[in-house]
Formats: sequence, C-alpha cells, structure tokens
Amino acid sequence: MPEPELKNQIRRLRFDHGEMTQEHLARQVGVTRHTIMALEAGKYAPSLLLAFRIARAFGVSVEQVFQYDGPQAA
Amino acid sequence: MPYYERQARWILGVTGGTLVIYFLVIALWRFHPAAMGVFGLSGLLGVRLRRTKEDGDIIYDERDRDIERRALLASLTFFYIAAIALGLVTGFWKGWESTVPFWMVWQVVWAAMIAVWGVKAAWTIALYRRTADA
Repeated sequence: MPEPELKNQIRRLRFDHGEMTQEHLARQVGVTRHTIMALEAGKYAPSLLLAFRIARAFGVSVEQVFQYDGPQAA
Repeated sequence: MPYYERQARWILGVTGGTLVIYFLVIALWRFHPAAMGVFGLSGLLGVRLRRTKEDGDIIYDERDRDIERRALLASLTFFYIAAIALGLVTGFWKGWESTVPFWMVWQVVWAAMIAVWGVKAAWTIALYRRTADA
C-alpha cells in the first residue's frame, strides 16, 4: 500500500459531532471500524467514493476532511 | 483484529503445519506416494472462523479488498519465481531428459499450492499490520 500523503480531520470532526464513535462512523459510511482507525492514523488512503461518503457523514466538503500533502504536479 | 487478518492467521497456521508435517514425513520415510496423504490436512483451509462480535456488522470493505488483491499478487509472484527456479535447478541438476514418478509430480504440485496459500496469508497479515492504527 503506498504511503498516504493525505492528512485528514476525521478525529476532530468526530469530536465536533458529539464525540461520534468510530463504530458509528464506520456503520454510516459502510466500512469496518479498523478502516476508520487506519484512516485516522494516516495509514490508509481511502477511495474517492469513501472520501465523499465520510465528508457527507459530517456534512462538510471533502477538502474539509482531507488535505493533500504531497508534491505539486509538474 | 480484522476478521480477514484472523482468517489469514488460521490459513498460515494450516499451511505451515501441513508443510512441516509433510517434510517430516518425507524426512523419515523418504519420498513415498503415501506422503501425499498429509495434504489432506489442507482441508482445514475450508474452516471458517466463528464470527462473534462481527455478526451483523461490516467485516469486509475496500481496505480488505485492496489488501487481498496485493497479497494475491505477491503470492503469484512467489509462485512464478519459485516455479522457474525449481524448473531450472532440477533441470540442470538431474538433467533435462531425466524422468520422475508421476506421484512425485503431484506431490510437488500440492506442496506448491499450499505454499502459495501460505505466502498469501503471510502477506495479508503483513499488510494488515503495516496499515494498522498503531
């Protein structure tokens, strides 16, 4: 798996949404809790579809959840 | 621990155990057609681990699918390299025109299949560990 160059605000957004549990978010977006844990730890880069689902679960845009941290395209 | 990592650990145990017993048998009794019976143990690969807490929950998602795909690719790479190496080594060692008993061919095929399962399981565990939360 490539090292994700993607930062995310999932942990903070969960906190802002009434301390939503990882379990709850996982159920809402259709993945396992382990995937949410891996995402929060920055160890896994989600598919575009999952990124949109997570953003929708928090009612924000994808850019507010995920920030690209890699080099600029040439 | 993710359900499929637990399953991979079981598969690794079964394949490792089967190969160890197989090599013990052929070490004790030399190559023998009956040694193929050891591969009957691979039937344990079909055992599904009991689901407890996961019941009703999602246990397979895009990350599991990604890991499964990468592990399969790793195991097939291992198979191709091992098959080419084995073919070359035995060819040069025993001579390209030499013959082997039919049962020996099947034992090698069985052992290779078990090894491929084992490599896939080991790679699966490694990928789960690498992308674990901590």
